[in-house]
Amino acid sequence: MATKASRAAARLMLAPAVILLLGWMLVPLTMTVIFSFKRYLPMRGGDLGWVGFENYARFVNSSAFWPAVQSTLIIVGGVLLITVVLGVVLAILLDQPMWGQGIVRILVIAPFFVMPTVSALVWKNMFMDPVNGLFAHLWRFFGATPVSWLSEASMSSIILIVSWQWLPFATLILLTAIQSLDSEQLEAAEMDGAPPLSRFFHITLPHLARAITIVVLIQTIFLLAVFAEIFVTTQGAFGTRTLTYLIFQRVLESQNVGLGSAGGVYAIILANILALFLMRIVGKNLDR
Amino acid sequence: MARAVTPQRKLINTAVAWMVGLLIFFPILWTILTSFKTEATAIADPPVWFFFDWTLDNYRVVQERSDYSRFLWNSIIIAGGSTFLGLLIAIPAAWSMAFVPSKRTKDILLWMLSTKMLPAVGVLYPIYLIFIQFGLLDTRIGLTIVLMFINLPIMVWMLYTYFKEIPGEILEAARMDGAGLREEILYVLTPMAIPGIASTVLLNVILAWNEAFWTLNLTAAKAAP
Repeated sequence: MATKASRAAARLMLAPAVILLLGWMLVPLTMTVIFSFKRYLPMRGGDLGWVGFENYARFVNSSAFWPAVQSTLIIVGGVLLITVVLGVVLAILLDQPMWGQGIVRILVIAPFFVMPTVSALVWKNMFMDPVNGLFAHLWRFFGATPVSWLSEASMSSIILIVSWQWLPFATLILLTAIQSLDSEQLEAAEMDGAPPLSRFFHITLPHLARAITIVVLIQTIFLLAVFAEIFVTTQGAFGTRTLTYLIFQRVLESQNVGLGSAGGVYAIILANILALFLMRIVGKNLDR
Repeated sequence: MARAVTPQRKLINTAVAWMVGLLIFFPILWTILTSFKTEATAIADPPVWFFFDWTLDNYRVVQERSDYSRFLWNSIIIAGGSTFLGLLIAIPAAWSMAFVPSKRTKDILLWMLSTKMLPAVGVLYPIYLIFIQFGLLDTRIGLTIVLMFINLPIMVWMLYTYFKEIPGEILEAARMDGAGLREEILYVLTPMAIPGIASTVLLNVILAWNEAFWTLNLTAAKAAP
């Protein structure tokens, strides 16, 4: 349908986005790669020359590296599992006929509008505080000893906070997808005597496949970079130091840019392994 | 989809959904309630629910101590500004990919998304240096630009998906009637794409509003949201 002129115009309109993004990606990336091969301590002498792969070796061999990769993957995996499963359940629930549907939907979606820093503070001080938190009150009410959540069950606590934030997003996307499901198909299956569970697995779930892929893809991108929640709650202590947080500490707290940059390159590699994996799934689903 | 259900079924649905909804909303509700309490009531054991002396003191104190409204204003300007800038760049790009697709359109789209896969920490220090170089550190404009870049791929993607759903025949009809490129975008496409653009704007404002990593690392006193 496109004429030659409109094709040229289209290229021209695409150009700013592509050029800007290319610059945004390439310039800092190149600098990071260069720094990663240097001994670079801004506060203690600045650029101290090339060191080859020393930073890479040091970063991988530091005792904090593998635990950091592990906790990153646990957080991403845990939150994805919780939000997708609960998201599907919630989406189906919210799609049922009921009174006050609009209000319930707003209630469920509300957490997405709370800044991560704020929600982390709220959870930390008002719910998980071992003395004054609501959980502590609840535990005492039942005669149990309050748990100091963020130090004793640090990982689960962070996964809980992050899941609470992202559940609305998953629910919203899945709800939109479910609404486009043809209800006659379900009714036909019902009449043919298909029990609810097999209706769910054979009709609803396949219909949601594409929406689930999108949820997983977008959430993974953001979850890999979870930062505020950890910064506010545990500051990376109690086994919650993710790769992002570890690099942040190397660069800004110990002012070792070379080492931090090497860590950055590792983070990029990890993200790209995950991305490649996800892109293949999405690419497949996009064509449908 | 309004399927016919028995009133009993509807009642159960309503009860369950409201319970779940309130459970999810509870932390926000509790925050709002606590904000009206005095320090002593806030940590009372057992917790008090509704029957306490409601006070606005906390709101006054937060404004006096930290000039809250200025930070709020920063947030609004930065979230709004980055979204607006992003739209200016993303709409033409999404338009061109949706209506004049080429062989490489899908690759470009995936590549754009892949720039989001670049972890922020990986490029934190270079951006920091560039900001110092150009005097952008701790300024609203600097943060606006960074947030615009961060969310640009998502914006292009969302807009692309929405534009794609607009039938191409309508554009052809407009072109037959002599509409130029400008009229086509302004009078045909934009009105049809308003819902899509609106939800893109909404998501983007939220993402910019929620952004903490860059905000924390690139600002201090003046531009902190």
